[in-house]
Amino acid sequence: MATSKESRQTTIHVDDVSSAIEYCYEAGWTDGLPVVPPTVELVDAMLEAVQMDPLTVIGEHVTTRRSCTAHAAAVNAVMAGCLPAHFPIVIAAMRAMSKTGFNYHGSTASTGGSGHLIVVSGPITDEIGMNATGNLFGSGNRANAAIGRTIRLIHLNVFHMQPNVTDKSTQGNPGKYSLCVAERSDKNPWPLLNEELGHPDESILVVFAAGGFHNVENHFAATPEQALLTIADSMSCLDSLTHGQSVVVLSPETAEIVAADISWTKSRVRNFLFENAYRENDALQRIGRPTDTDDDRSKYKFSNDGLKDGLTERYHRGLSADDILLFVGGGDAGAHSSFLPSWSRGRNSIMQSEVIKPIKKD
Amino acid sequence: MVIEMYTPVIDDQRVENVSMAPRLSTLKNSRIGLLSNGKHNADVLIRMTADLFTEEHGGEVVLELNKGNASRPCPDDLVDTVVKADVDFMITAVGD
Repeated sequence: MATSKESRQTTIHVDDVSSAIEYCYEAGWTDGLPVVPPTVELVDAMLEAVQMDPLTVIGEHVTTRRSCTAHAAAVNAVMAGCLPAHFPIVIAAMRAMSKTGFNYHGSTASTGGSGHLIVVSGPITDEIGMNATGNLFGSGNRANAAIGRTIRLIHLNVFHMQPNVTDKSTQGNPGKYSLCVAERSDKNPWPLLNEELGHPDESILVVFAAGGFHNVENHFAATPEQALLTIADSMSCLDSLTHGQSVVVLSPETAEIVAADISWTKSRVRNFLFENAYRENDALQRIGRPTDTDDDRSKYKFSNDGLKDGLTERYHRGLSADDILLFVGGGDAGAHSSFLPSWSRGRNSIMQSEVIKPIKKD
Repeated sequence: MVIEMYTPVIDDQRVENVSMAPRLSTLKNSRIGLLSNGKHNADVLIRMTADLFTEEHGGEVVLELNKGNASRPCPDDLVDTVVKADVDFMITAVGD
């Protein structure tokens, strides 16, 4: 594994815990909430769990030319509240976000304000007690909250993507505090994400530079079409209608309605959502959005690359059904699903996946 | 009880070669390069800015480049082109 030439983390001495917390505030090392003082003992335990050289580079931020070592990640993980058992997910998430297609620079600096979503799938979710059920997107679960928060603290402290200095988000995103969820494996009629991605016996994660969270509710929907058309309508709202990718999280109740007919496979659901998440030319023109009929601002035109059958006046979200990450999550009760559009208005950030290496047990 | 704790930053990561370019002694009759970041209207803003320079100080625009995508880092070959450009100064702009 690659190692950094950089030195290990330096240490400081403080008088007591409350002084340590205040020191972190004054140094600008927090997200606004208190952090756990990253004592040498806690950080070393974090590294010990993954048996990793502390100078191993696990993430790189191209534009700032800063890299994140396992040691730096461990310090920030302790500060965020992680246990050592959570740390393999942090490492996998950093590796996934450092892949070129994710565009770490844009998603941490943009006015658009991305929340860096981590979706975890596979046996580790139960092993470490992640939440895949009620209040999926927060709050109340230590693993979900602390893992997502670690990524944010790394952005702040290691990559120096600081609000209103290098992170120029206009209104921010609640997901900038933490945005990490588990896929629900029970109440799920379809293959899990780890199975879909070819790792049925391992845990994986998917990272996605997410825009704002849309709650999609229709308690009147009684058929697959009614339930899914509601989600497609949310996906095609004009502020979200771009060529970017999508995350759709079906509530168990909605998944049950859709999958009651076994012909509704996961693939069919994605196809249906893509085919119905569109608006027509005149809707875009009403709000001043350039379309194929405009002449000069070609970067913002929506071509119809993902279309067939010559439907030239329809503008779909994404390029194809493959641009929709679909999984089940949330509590048993409630027809409340969710849609998260990409931060990118186009193809400037593509979701990435990574296998989570489990902690070796003696 | 005194606590020893790590810092969460990596102190000795430094960006190399960040010194400012030498200041120009005059703007008169300069050879000007333009680099748009690719955002909506950036090209308009940058051209209007260049026009102010040429109207007040003479000179001409001899190089026009476009990063093409504001969200992604500038490609290495484009950075290389800027570094080697035969211009007195470059103007870059963000638009939206």
